[in-house]
Amino acid sequence: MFLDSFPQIQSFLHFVYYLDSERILHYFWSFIVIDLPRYVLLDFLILFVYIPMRGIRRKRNRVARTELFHDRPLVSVLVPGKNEGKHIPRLAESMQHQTYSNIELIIVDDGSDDNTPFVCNHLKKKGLIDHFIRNEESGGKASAANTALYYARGRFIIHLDADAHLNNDAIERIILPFFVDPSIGMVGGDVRVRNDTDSITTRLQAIEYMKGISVGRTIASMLGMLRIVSGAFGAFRTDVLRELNGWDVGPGLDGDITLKFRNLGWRIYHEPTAVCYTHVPDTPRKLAKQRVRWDRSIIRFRGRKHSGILKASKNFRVLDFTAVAENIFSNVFLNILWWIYVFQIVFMDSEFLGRIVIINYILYFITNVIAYTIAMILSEETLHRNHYALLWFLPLMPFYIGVYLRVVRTYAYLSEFFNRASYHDPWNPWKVSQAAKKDGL
Amino acid sequence: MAVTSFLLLSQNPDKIVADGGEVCTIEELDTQKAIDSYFFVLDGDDKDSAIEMLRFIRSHPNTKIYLKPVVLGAGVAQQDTILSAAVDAVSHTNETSFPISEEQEELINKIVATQSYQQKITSILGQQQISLRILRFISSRKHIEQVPIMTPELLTGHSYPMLEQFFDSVDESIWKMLELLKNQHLLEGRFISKAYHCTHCESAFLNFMETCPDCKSANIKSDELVHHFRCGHAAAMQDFRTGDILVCPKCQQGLKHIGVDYDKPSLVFSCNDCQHVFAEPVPTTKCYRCGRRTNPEDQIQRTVYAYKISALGANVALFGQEQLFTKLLKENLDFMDNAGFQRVIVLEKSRVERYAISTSCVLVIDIKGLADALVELGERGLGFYKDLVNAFVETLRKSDILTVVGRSAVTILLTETNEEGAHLVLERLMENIEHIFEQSLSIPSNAMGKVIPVNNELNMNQLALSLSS
Repeated sequence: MFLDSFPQIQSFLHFVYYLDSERILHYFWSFIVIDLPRYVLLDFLILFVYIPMRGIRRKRNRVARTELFHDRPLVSVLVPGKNEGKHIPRLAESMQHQTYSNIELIIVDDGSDDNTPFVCNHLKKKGLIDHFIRNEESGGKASAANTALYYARGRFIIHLDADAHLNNDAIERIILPFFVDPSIGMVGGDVRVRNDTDSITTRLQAIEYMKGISVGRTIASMLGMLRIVSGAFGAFRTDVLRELNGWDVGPGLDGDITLKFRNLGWRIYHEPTAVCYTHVPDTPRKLAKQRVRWDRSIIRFRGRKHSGILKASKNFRVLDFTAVAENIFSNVFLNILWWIYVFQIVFMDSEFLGRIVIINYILYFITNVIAYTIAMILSEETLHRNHYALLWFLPLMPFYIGVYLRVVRTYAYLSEFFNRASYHDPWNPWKVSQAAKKDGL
Repeated sequence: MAVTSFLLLSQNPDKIVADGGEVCTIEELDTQKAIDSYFFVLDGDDKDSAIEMLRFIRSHPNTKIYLKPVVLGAGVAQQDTILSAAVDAVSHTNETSFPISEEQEELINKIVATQSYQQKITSILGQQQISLRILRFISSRKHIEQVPIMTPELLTGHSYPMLEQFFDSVDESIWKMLELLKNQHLLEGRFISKAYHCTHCESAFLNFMETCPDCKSANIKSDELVHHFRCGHAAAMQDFRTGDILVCPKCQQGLKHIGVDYDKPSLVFSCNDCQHVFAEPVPTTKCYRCGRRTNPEDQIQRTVYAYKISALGANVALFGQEQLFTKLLKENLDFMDNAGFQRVIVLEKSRVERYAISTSCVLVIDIKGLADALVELGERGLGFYKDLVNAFVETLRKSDILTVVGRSAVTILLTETNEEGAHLVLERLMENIEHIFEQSLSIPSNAMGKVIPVNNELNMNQLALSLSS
């Protein structure tokens, strides 16, 4: 027989053939119990609930659009940043092409030491920037965003990263939900990767963003469990943001402000058609640095600062509890379980290690293909050629999500849990981190 | 030299005794006496008439009068800073102690300098452009820099006291003239200051205000923006102020030490009229004279210079812009004035006709745009002129006679030269001129030339016109 000359393949097929349900559960419980429901089953909600309701949403949006253009409320676009001068001209120019034009653009320069002040002053003279505030000393992202908020006059606030590039209808799209449902306090835009063709790292992130933000946040929004609105492109009701006195010191201020909105009872919504493209790290090293910062905020904010949501109190709400608990469960607890699983297959099932890894790879690859296909169906209206080209990189996703990001996440959790490392992150000025640490914030 | 001869100008000549000089009114002023005197003295008892008399002297058509030193006599007029600066010297003695003594070395030097300068100038009469008069005046006082004086009495805010007397009215025209002469490299400017002038009425008196970008009101106030490190809150200082202490309105914590728990990264402005909050007030100007509001960047921004004569300007002052080329030709070639040249042509015509054994030709070359080239080239202009003159020197023979008709038409008598030979000379000259224009200005020359045989039909009066036919 042909297979007789390949004993390893024969042995692998033999292993597969004799897998019964008990052994499947024993060898692949991590996939079956943890990842299959999270990454695939929930995604089917898009296919069977979200997409079939498109017609109803369009109808509601039409009514809301009429109201929006009748009221024409001022929208304040806040762009806090440091050394972002090179991105500002394109951003300011893109504001000129928005379908919704009653916008004020507020740029806060958080102590830049490059040519940002010169660039922004020039754009202000040209009338492309409404307010340019130059802070001589860097105070961190939250301080810069709060400074911008102080000057804002709009009924709605949009927080934008300086390197963001918006679709021409993005501002209109992200504001519409406020007119569809008055209980919505905060809307997240669909952040996608702009520099996806730069490297393999950026391509993998492009797939991850499509799956995680476009699909993941749409589902979380549907279930009322959205717990983060990206700072790269998020919209807020100004009155609520002012009531909360703006953002707290980060890192992770996006998730923090979202939870504060939830605490006040406001609905958080994700709008997948409000598309914003952002610049992502182009090397694994830079990516790890960024993700460590993000992941540490899970411990610092969910685990410490907002632990009250998990406790019984008069403000207790099941959805808030579920959103935070799910966040901690899926990120921290499941990460621990994953290491237990790795330990099990390396040390206890080492005899079949190679076969288990291959089968796991195939399962995760199929999962990724399904999830990305759903993401493409969801984003049908805003897809372009690059999104199809990304299909070739799906075989790398099991290593990227399944191994690389998990290792980075584990390092971030451990360093934050034991060392409170986020307080030493140079992302925030030292003086700010020390003040926050002193008060345990 | 005993400097005793001067003219004291006064509206009340009977009241004044001038030892060593004569006293008269402007109306009585005799031109020859004015030319012969070394300097003028103005009666310092009456400011207005002193100004009028000074203006009369400086606007006189005779170079030997308008360049003459003027002394302001003791009296109330000396309290006028601008008038005191507008004359060459002031006398601190009383009226009976005239004339100015020999010890006043500075004045004597000025007199000697202006006298010798006047002798260099060939054309002293007739209508001269105001630019030439100013150049000559500054040139005759080349060691004195024309430094502007700041003054609230003039619309332009600055006064060039000595030069203002050349203008009918004291307005921005003096600025424009001096800037023009500087751009032509005839004057050298030393930076003094920058000044904003109203774009509507040219007034230098502008009120600079910071205004609200929304309602344009100047009723605005500024406050410090405070950033609380602990919670990231940012707002104006007044929001943090609770009695005598600072308390964060967001986290209710007290702010104790700047740099430790809070800082002040920038200023914040708010409008008392429309309550608008903004980071940067809009600067605007309001003219005290015409009352119009304008953005500072839309106002006229002038650079204030102190002026002195340049090397090129000194040459132009002596000979005039057009005559500079003629002067160089005279220095280097056998040059005749027009009348002499015409006589030679008459003789040559007779000789050629009588003996009928030789031929002579007249060559006319008109080089257009010489004055423009001087302006364009600035300091290099003199070199450019010299190159052109050299082109003539190298091409012409000793026996050739030359004159200039009009502004730039060089007319040359080529004796014992037939038409063919004259065309060869013309061709060579035109080539050289073309080359100099290309090298210096990177443009082709606008020179035209013509060869005319000397015979009975030759009409000297039509020579220059013949080029255009």
